[in-house]
Amino acid sequence: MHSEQQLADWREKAFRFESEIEKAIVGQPRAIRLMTIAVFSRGHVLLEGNVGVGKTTLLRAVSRAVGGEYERIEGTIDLMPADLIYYTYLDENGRPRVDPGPVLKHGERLSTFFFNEINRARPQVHSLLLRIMAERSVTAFNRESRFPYLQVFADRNRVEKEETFELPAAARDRFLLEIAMDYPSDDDILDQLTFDPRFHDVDTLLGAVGEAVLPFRELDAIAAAIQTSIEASPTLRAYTRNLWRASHEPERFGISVADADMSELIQAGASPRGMSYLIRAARVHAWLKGRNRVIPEDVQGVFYPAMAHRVFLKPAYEYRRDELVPGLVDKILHSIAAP
Amino acid sequence: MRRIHLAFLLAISGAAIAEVPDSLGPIKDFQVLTPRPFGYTIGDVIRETLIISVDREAVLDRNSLPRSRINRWLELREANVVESESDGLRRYRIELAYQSFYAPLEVKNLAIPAFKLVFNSVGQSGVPKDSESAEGSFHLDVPAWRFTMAPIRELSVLREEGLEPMRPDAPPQLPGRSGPIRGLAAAGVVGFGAGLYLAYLHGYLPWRRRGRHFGAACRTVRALSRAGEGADYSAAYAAIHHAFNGVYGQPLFSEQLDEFFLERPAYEPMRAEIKAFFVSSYEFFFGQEPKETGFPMSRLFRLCRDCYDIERNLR
Repeated sequence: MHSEQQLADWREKAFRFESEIEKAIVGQPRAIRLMTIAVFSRGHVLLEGNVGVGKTTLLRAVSRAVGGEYERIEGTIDLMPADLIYYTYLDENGRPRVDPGPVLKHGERLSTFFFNEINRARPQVHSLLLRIMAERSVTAFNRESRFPYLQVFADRNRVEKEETFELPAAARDRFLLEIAMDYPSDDDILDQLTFDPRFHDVDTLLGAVGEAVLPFRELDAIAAAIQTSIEASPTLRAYTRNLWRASHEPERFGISVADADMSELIQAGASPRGMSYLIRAARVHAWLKGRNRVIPEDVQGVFYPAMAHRVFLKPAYEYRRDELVPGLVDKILHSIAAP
Repeated sequence: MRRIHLAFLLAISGAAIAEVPDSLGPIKDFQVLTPRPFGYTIGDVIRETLIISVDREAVLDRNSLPRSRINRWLELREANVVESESDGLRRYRIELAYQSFYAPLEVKNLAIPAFKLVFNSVGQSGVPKDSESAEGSFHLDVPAWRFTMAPIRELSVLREEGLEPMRPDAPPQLPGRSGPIRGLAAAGVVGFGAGLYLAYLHGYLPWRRRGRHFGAACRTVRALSRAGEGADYSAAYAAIHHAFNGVYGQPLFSEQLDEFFLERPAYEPMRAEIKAFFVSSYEFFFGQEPKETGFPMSRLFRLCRDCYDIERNLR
């Protein structure tokens, strides 16, 4: 059991982790904070954003600071599940060889698996990834390999829809957070990104990020300690329940979104797993703020990235998702009171 | 109406001959339009119109018009001057309304006295020349006008002779009543509306009244505080939170307090107390176990009442 002091020490480590990442990524404090929350909740993250906002750079910086082995794969339309497990080639003697692929290569030292452009891969690949995310294990070569420290980061860009495969609901539900990254709006930061030669070479930029700031083997233990030591009072539980109900039946709480029939809007709200993820993230949020209990602001701080991708709209409204869901989530947060 | 032309005037008014300039002078046309010269009785109004055309450089001196009280029995009621310019001439139309109060005992000849109209010349600059100088000004004699007045009746009217005595004066016409009644009704509506608004401002209206949020919270807290030791603090806190949510229009959480004070500056004087309330409430609701709060019921009630006064605009 971790003591108060250990939790405080780990909080210092978390802040150091953030400041290391800030060496490579400027103008995205919220995204960095949410990545930290994901790392300490041991949850998988899907990054979303336009081209060139720094999604890949952020993920590479995080994986470098987390330590452990890091593997990355690019999603392409012809990528098959087997490509993750093994690859075949002819060795120097002309014999066919089969070697472990990116997932198996590092064994259990694999701490960060980074799936670039996930929506370019086929559903078959998604389902394998689903298993890796959910169980941290994969069966290959007649044995089961386990990855106890694995955290999957994936990104996808919002711009292109051609030759892409939308992630199924089940796969999306496996991600703890879906973090939207946008262009920085601050003029100074835009100038910095545009004119400062430091940002022109990503590899040099990432070289400035301290390696293995967080000991990856201890992360599971500290994440569990955070979950047990941060309290959630009955009032907060009631608040969370109401948020959950509102995500299923907004009309019951008098929530309405412009140009949508509220009784015909929601196909499915957040799952119980989604709610547990929300509270996991909220507890880490509270811990980073130096509290030993969760308050509504902690839940609100992670509500959008933890919940928006878990609300599924009916087909008639799904194509307007990007326009409706932010408004719906915002309305939910602004209409449920606590106490 | 009869016109007396300048030439005729010159012919009949010997006294004016010297003053009236010839046709080459500055006065180009002068007409006097008068009504019938007979059949007037006491109190009648006699209207006379003068039409004068002069050079553009000449300007009428309005002070030369007759004054309102002309003599013992004659008054000038109105004198309207309309000035216009056309064909390089300055034209005046002067409308005079005299009222005669002469009470003749028999038909009598009377006259509206003659008077002089003075004209000043203006130079090229438009500034009047010195009116004292002989060349700077001239005058026009308006002749007297004679008319006859008659008594209203014979000096003594005797009933015995079968003649009608004088009828009493016509009763004064009563002014219409609809205007004042409409005005009174409009004032009543405006007054009622203003009273209603004042009542709303002071929170006396049952519907959507000011102070309703904290009013309800105050009643709840007061009722709860009667319980003494075993008071239900969670209900009291919740009532006050509910009031804050109502005033803010959406749930108010502690991180939004700064926005709340920006949007509702009236609560700014209470900032410290409201923040303390939120800290205490969060400790109460989200802390490990309900502990002794820094807010006894009396303090909660005081906060409630202060916010109630602010909500009612009484502070």
